[in-house]
Amino acid sequence: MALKGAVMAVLTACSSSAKKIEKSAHTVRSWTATADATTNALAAGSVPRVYGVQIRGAAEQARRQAVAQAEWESLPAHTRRELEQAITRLQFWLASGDTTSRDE
Amino acid sequence: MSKLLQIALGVFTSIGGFLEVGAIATTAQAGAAFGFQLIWAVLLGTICVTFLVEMSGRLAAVSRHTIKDALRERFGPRIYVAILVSDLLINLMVLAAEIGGMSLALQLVTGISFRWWAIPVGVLTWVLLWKGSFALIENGVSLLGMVALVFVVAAYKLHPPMSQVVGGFIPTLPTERPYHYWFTAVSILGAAISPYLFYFYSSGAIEDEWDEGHVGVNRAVAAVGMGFGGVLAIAVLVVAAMVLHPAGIEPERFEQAALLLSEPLGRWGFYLFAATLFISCLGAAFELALATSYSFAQGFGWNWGESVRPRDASRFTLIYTAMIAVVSLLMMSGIDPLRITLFSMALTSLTLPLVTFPFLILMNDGDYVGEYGNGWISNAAVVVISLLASLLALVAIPLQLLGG
Repeated sequence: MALKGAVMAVLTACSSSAKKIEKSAHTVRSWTATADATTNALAAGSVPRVYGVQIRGAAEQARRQAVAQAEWESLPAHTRRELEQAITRLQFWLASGDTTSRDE
Repeated sequence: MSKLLQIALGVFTSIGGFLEVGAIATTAQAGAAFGFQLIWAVLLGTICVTFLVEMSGRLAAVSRHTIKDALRERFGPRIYVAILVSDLLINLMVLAAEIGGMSLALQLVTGISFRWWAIPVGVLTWVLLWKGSFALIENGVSLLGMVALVFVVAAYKLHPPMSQVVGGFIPTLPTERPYHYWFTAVSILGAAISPYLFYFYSSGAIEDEWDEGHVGVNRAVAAVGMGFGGVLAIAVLVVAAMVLHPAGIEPERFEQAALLLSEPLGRWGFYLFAATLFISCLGAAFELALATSYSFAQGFGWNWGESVRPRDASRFTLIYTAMIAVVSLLMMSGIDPLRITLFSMALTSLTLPLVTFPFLILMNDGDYVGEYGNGWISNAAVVVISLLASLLALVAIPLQLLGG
């Protein structure tokens, strides 16, 4: 009986941990997509630069929060890398100054 | 002609009460996470709120009582105070979300954090309420709120697959993340069936001096106004399903939702999104502040009316002044507007029967509505949808909280 309880507890914990990893991966993928979509929108001139700056800040904050969680290390390496690359691309776009003429 | 102009009350109520920060947030999240699958929740909410708004206008026109007035008279002060306290707590949360929504709209355009906009936005809302008459606010928001039609234009331009859109009107079980699915459905229902909306509407009908001759036009106003709100909310969901869902974006912050209109409409879409968010939240803030002030004034027998000079209804104006001050300070502290929006919508769903059931008793009481009592269809629709929303909320809120 005690063994059954222990097994159930482990299974529940595993299931809960798997859910947390899945949720974390979901969040990371969503922010990767947001940063990419914003970079594309900036390139197309369909959002102002000031918006790109806000999304960069929010994506960096989301990344910091994700890194601070235990689940970060369990995420697939490409998922983590893609977020970092998406933020870098957005950062590059904002720093390049190409948007200045589009905003005016 | 003047009765046709009363449609403005319905449109104003729908823009301020229906398409506001809650509806935009919940439908955008639904479309982003589940595609067209949750359109049925918007439809269900629209049906229920149309019945409730129609009833509240009918009660006001026939009995010359607002809902709160009649509730206090019919059920006595104890039950009235219980309803008032529950309303006040939820209305404060929702008003905070609306002030947050307006502040976020300004943040999107200026880049200055919403926290810094909370106080100026609160002051603007208060000044307009203080200085403006009911007609000015009603017609102004109705007119400006037409900007929300941009979502319908965007949905049209995106050419959504009609078979999937139509399929969304039929409730289906979730294929993934069931807790999140049901929590989103509950939030959509809470955003659509906001009690302050029909409290406000009944007080508005009294301010507009409706009588029994308005029963017919009230039906049209409720149907057109709420139908308008429902179409706009579905359009937001469709746009999110077409723009955010395929990209894999699920808004955790309002800033992400700003991409909704920039894909179909370019730079103008971005600014129109901000404008729609600001105007719809302003309309909702007016309704919330006024609805709560009406509730206190009508319950305690104070002088009331948005068209009455503030000095002649000082306690009435004090309520909305205090509410706006409190929530503006709250939002300045940096509370996440999206989080407060979603939970206030889910809590609204949870408490719906506490609001709708006493109201239904009134609508079946011959002393108040005489021969204009409810038919079985409106009774059944409101009972079933309110219970469904409340039960779903009872299950989905704890599960969503446990699931983070």
